[in-house]
Amino acid sequence: MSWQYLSEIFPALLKGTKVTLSIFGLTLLLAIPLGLLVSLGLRSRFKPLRGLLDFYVWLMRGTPLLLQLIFVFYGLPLIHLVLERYAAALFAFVLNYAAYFAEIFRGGLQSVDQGQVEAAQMLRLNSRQTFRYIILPQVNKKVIPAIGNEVINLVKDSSLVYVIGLGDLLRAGNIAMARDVTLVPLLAVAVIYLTLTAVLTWALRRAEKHYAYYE
Amino acid sequence: MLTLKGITKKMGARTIIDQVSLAVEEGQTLCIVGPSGAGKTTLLRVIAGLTPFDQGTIELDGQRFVPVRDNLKRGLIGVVFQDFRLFPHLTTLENVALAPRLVLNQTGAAADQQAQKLLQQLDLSQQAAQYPFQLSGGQKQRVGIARALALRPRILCYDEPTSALDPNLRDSVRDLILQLKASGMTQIVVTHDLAFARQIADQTYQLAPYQV
Repeated sequence: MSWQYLSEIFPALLKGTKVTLSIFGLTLLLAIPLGLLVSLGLRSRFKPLRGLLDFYVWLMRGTPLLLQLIFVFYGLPLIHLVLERYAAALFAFVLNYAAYFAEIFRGGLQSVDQGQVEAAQMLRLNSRQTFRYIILPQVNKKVIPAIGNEVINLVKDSSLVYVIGLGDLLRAGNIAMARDVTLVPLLAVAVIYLTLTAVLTWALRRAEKHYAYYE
Repeated sequence: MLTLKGITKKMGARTIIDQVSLAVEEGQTLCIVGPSGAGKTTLLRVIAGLTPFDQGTIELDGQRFVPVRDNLKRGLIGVVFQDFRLFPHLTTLENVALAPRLVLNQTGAAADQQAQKLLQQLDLSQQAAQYPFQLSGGQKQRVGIARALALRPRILCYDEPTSALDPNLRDSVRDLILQLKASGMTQIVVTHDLAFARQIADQTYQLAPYQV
């Protein structure tokens, strides 16, 4: 393995890393709030909405993300909904991860004692204030470890976008490997993934610590 | 001041509260006593507006009063819960100052100042920056009282105020209730502890007979 070879493949790997990071970042940015909204809908008293969201979560968690990616990119055009590669990947990832986040938030919401809501009611907080100032901070503390697992999974899952021909980090490594007949590019890819997950693990620990000030 | 006439609460086929009529006058302390399962806490929840009732009427100052609607809007009746129900992620000061800031639209500084004053009255100044998990049972209860008082209710209700406390803290709760009574606060105390009720009550309402 020479430094010269690594420096030759580095620009391609960097370009792939940018795609991986952008899928990762945008998915988180969109899927977490969407997951929170879905989790609220899953607790709705309006049965049809609950049924629909239950079905959505079941569908997303019950089928492989790879299949969903293929379906969005190759299947949706059959009903005249054509998405370009990046948009299709993002669409599939957000839908899939929002379902997982929704289940995590649902568990978090269930774990907050109903007595907290009653205490807020007696203090005349309206439902928005109760959610924002009383429930959400307690839910956040409870869901961070589970969300953290999904965040780490997302970094690795992002490599599935190769199936629709999007040039992410793994694909960049694969191309270099096939062209130069060496495993070195894949080793470099592994090091980049490990670095990304190490940084995320550190950030998640910080987030857990941030909420560790109370029991 | 507050009058209950023929209040009945059913849960399914079971009658939890049957035709309860009682009245509490301004500045008085009413104790609702009875054995476990007599419906004391349910009656307190009905008065506070946390549980709707099936029959009867409630009047406040001679006006019809529907707690589920009126109390939750106007906050005339405050509650100190048996298990305190403090907000675990907020400090003592924040627990007390939150509602005045959000509900009475006080500025942060004004709400904090009022909360500090209440904490001082309840001997909790040292605990202002502590979180509920750092407090003793007696301190948690006093924070619960301070939090309810911060919205300036006309009636303060307690659900079994002595049951979660060590016996030696019972006297301090008694003193606190008597102190609030001296300041003119109308109080309703639900308790199974007859001796405690005798020490604080102007009048006592027995919800169901004790079995001998």
